[in-house]
Amino acid sequence: MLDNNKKTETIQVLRWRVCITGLFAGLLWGSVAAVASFFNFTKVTPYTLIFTPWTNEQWGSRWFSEMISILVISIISIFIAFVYYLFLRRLTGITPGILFGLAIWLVIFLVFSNWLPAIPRLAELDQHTLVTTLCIMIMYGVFIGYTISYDFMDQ
Amino acid sequence: MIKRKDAPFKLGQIKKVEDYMREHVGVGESFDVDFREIILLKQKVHLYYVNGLCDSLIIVELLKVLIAINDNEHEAEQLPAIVKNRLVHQQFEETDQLDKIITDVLSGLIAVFIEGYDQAMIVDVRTYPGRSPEEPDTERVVRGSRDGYTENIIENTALTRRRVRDPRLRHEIIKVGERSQTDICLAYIKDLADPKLVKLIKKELEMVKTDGLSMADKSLEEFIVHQGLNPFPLVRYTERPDVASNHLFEGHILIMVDTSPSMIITPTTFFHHLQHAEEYRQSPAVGTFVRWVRFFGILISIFLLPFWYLLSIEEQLLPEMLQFIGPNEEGNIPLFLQIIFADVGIEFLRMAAIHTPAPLSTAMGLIAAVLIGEIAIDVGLFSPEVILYVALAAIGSYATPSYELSVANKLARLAIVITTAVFGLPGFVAGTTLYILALAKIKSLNTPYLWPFIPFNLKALLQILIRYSVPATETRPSITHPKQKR
Repeated sequence: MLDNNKKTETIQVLRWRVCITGLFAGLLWGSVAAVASFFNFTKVTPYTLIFTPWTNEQWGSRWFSEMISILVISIISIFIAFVYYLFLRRLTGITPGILFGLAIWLVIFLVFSNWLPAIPRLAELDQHTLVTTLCIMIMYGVFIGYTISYDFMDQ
Repeated sequence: MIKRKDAPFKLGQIKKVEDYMREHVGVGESFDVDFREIILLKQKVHLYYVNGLCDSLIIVELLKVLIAINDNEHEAEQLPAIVKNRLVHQQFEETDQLDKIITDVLSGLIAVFIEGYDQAMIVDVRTYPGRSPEEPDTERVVRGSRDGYTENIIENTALTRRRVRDPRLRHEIIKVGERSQTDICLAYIKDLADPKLVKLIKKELEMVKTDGLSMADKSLEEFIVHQGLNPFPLVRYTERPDVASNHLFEGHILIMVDTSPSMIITPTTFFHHLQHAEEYRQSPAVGTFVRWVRFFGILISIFLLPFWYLLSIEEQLLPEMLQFIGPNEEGNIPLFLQIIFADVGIEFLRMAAIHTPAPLSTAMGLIAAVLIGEIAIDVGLFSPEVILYVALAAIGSYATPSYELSVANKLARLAIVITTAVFGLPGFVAGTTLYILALAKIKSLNTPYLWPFIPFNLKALLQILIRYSVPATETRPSITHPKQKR
């Protein structure tokens, strides 16, 4: 009985930590993408992914709309983190995280770009944007993947 | 390597012991291994010792007491018991293993053999040449305790024990090295430290097969953490007993190696190398500020130079407000070579400063400042901006509390500069990503190196970003897997 209670408790703690991980993954790597766009490393930013498919208007200044987009991405990231938690949490090491980030990157630029014309297709990306977004997405994937599998193994 | 066998005779055959010692330990050949025969109640008694490592006063005292047996006692058959009783020293032991006796004698203990008695008596009379505790050079604080570990492992355990009077503090001693027989002490608090890690370290220590650990802690570190080609320091060193005991309370395990004042702290992450005792001597707000400035300095030491180089070779990257950055004129030498030359030049200075005697180093500083700062620009070798950014990066590495980490970061910086030079922006971005991934992939004694950043742990990360006041840090860090969380 006691053991059972403890088990549910650890699972709850684990889920809570998955939430936090997703949230901060979005905040951190979204901000990195925004800063990278400030130095013209990438043309695709959180703003491109969140705002442009629906509207061409900006809310306030460009950086304000970037901030809103980063927040939206952070909330979406919570769900992405849960996807990882549900299907991939048993994988160890950083390689699954790298592949996870790569997969999300491919989904964005191969699948979503077909539905939403505002997101550039893979073939349309210039070299700088391609490398920068790919690297950021890989770091994002490792951040989520490694954290979740480490927390899971640690419990 | 020496293969030690059991002696083919009993220790009571005192003549055979003497022959064995002459043949295998060099009594009579090495002048420092000494031997003295005395006659007690008409029986021979032999004493073996190393004259440089023993305290003569104590030996003379012991001899006086032993000789007095001849005047006061008569029962010759009771001699071993009498001698045992008369050896007035608190550290006394009896053994019949000859190789242990030899190691003990060579460590500075004195061995007493009695004719016809099959045990040897060993008295700990050693005094090692050494210095008294001093403040360590690399970890100075403005205020606070000024003592530091020394080269003597016994003194070091005493300095720790003085701060941790917990009966559960354990100092386990292990001998490593076939020829050197170096003492290694594992210090941990029994009800805090992770028993799995204690076991793992003991296993690694037992697997060490080597002649000797002449570089003490560093040699041992390479055996237990399996460094390979990875340049990053996988354990933290400290020479301060207060830092060491603080880590003991957090559930870390210390490894002390005789002849070295540096304690190895495990498990260690990247962020342990970014902390310094000085932060804990200041108020939390000041400590936090100092820490942020330090983090900023370390970031600069890695990324500023390649980033500036990237911005100057690809000027379209600069946003409007930062157009002033970047060299105004090309210079006579390609920028990449200027950076490499300047960075290697600073490395020359650093190395020269380490082994230049103090009176010459002032002259060296003058030459460095005048030659590189002024003339190199005047003759058109370097552009001023290169000097600025290379100097900033160098100062950033000096702000890194861990010397080992600052040198490893320097390698990373040069690698990123090179990838940037070859591939431009993709090289910079991919180089930076690889740097972080490489750090994240490292595991030191089963501890992820970049914890609590990757894998992410919000609470622990906040404790690194903000220097909490001591009463506010109520829980132990989870990375040590402490048996008691608070």
